[in-house]
Amino acid sequence: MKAGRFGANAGLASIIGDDDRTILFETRNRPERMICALRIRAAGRLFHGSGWLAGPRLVMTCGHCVFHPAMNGWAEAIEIDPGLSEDLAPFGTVSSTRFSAARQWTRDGDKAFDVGAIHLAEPLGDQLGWFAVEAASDPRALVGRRATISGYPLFDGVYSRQMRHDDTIAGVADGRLFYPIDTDEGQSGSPIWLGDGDVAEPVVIGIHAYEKQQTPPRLGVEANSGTPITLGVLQLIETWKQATA
Amino acid sequence: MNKIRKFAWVTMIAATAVAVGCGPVGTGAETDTAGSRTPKILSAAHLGQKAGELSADGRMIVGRGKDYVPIAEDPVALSARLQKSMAERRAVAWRIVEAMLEPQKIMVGSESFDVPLWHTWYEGKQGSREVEGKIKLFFAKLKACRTANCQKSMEQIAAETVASTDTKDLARSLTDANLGRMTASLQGAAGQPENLGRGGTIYSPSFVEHILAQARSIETCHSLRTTNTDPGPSSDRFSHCLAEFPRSATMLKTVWLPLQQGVPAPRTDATAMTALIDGGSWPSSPASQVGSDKIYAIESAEGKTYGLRALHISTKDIREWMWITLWWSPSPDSDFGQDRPASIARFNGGVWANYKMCVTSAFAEGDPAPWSSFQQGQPQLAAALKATHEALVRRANVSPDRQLTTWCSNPNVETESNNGMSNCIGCHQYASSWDPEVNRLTDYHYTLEPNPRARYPQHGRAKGRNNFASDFTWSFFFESTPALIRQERERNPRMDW
Repeated sequence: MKAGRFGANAGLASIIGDDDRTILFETRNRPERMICALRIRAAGRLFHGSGWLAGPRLVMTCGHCVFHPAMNGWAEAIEIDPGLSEDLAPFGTVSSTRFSAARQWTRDGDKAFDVGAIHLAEPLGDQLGWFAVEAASDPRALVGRRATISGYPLFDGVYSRQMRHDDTIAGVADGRLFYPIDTDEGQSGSPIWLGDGDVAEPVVIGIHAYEKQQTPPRLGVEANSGTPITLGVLQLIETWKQATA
Repeated sequence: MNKIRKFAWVTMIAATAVAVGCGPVGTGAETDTAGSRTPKILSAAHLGQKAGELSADGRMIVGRGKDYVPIAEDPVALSARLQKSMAERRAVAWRIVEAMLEPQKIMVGSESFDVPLWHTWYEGKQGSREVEGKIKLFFAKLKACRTANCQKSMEQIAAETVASTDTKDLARSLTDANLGRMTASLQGAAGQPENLGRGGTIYSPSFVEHILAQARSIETCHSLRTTNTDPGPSSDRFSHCLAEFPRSATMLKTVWLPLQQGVPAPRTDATAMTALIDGGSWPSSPASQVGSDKIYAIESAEGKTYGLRALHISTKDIREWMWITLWWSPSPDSDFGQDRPASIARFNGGVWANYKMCVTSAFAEGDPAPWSSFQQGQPQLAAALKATHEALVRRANVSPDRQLTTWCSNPNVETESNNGMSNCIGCHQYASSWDPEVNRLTDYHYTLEPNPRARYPQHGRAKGRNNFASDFTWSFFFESTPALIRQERERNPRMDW
């Protein structure tokens, strides 16, 4: 349990207690190279998010990274930097204009289905590998399990450093996972996998999406949140993977 | 490490349709009119609501301002010159203020705004934790370097860390949470003295770089327990755990207030100064409504306008630092504002012409008549300085140490009992020092007790130490700098320094 030192937790939207994240500069290995920084262009603006390879030509992210009212709907183009490390993009940059999202997200804005996909023309996954994905038939079974989130948050003025933290999944409500894992703006779409950061072959069980301010007060918990991979979401991922195979 | 504090909620799965929290993009900044002196207010209100952890870029990005360039004069000679002359002390202080206000340009939409140099620097723990971020980044770079068996020195990695990002996202600074916390800490001062002195701290690039380069020894600072009588480690070091900061190092403290609350209008004329030094405390002053054309103001992301009511500036131009403070005043051209150079008004539409200033550069007053140079041209300033000096002489005469000290305190900051007769340097001398009587690190308010013990002569104004454990920087204590360094070290236990 973190001690509540005075002045702690000031200013950062999604840091809970102390900032326990680790910065990863060596991103040429698995799984770091399968995690991507996203530069999203829409409505004349530039947005930043995160994503992860889920197939040869499929980058998974959250729905609001590809479709959002602030973008006037769908993103126009997304540049993808797998394994970005400051100024170094060890595997180059690819761009896409083909996206998908769960209909419950695009139609209803349902946060329980805030999942989206970027379809690549290039088989980037064949070179870098992709994450295994596992659906929880009942996400409540994840409560109490240790989980890791790794992505590209705003840190020190830029979105170009991969940062990681692991902690325990605290609960499930409204179809979302809640956890005290430190994240920050730009990390929407990051993979959530079970185990700590040293897991050799991580298996994704969720997609990070929201900072702690988006946690309903009625839950009485200070936590960030994401979308669990349910059977329905897994089916979507498989469909999108086939569509871009 | 489990960080959840509350578990009193029911696990449930109910996929409820919730509208996405993303509001319309508003306008924001006020427009400037040609020929008008009404300044444009830097506003974050146009940013709109967040969209989850999707982040929009380029909205409040400002280039980090250059480092402070110290006065081009031998620091020992400069220190001696300033101690002997209040006129020269104040003239140099205004030059430093002017350097801090040098505008940096930021584009917000299609509009250009001027941001003072200091506002582009690194916020401490009471701000958006930029220094903490740099410490984390430094350790990550150090670890990566050592893992790769690199031969870089700590100093090189510190320099690379500071240089690695040359922009600041002001959107992180201009929020109610950030600005309100500072306000809250000050308002709580009367009832919670431990909060006094805390505001929004900001540090120059070279200050931060020095912290990083010295990280290995800073980690040990709090365990040294140096007392007042411990000798300093050497003639060129004040501290056993920290090399002295470079001359370009600068630390600032900002104190903001929502303008709708009104801004206190303190009196600092001769009569008020006599009462202050004799009584020890600033009287409470009535608040007056101030327009954003009369005070340095910004607008938060939530649309609230804040005015800067006080600004502390400390530069390492001289060994024992320059201690300068500005406070907003409704009568800015009298007493401590009477010698303000006209050039100060050229920034931010002239708002800086509404601030008064005092300065200290040493513990002891070396000018036998600090008011004399101002008698002809700035008589109200002369009267205020004369009243202050005479009251300080009375204080010295009844003090066991008999030291005639300097004075400088901010009526918008040092509002706690007995804090009004402070002189900045006297308080900061006790930063990170050990108080054996209470067996803990000294807190600044020990100097404010009604009957100060012998180890805090003249409520801290007089020199009471032979060493300065953290080179006069309270941030080691209030912002837990050694603890932050230790925390990163513990995350990397096998790393070779």
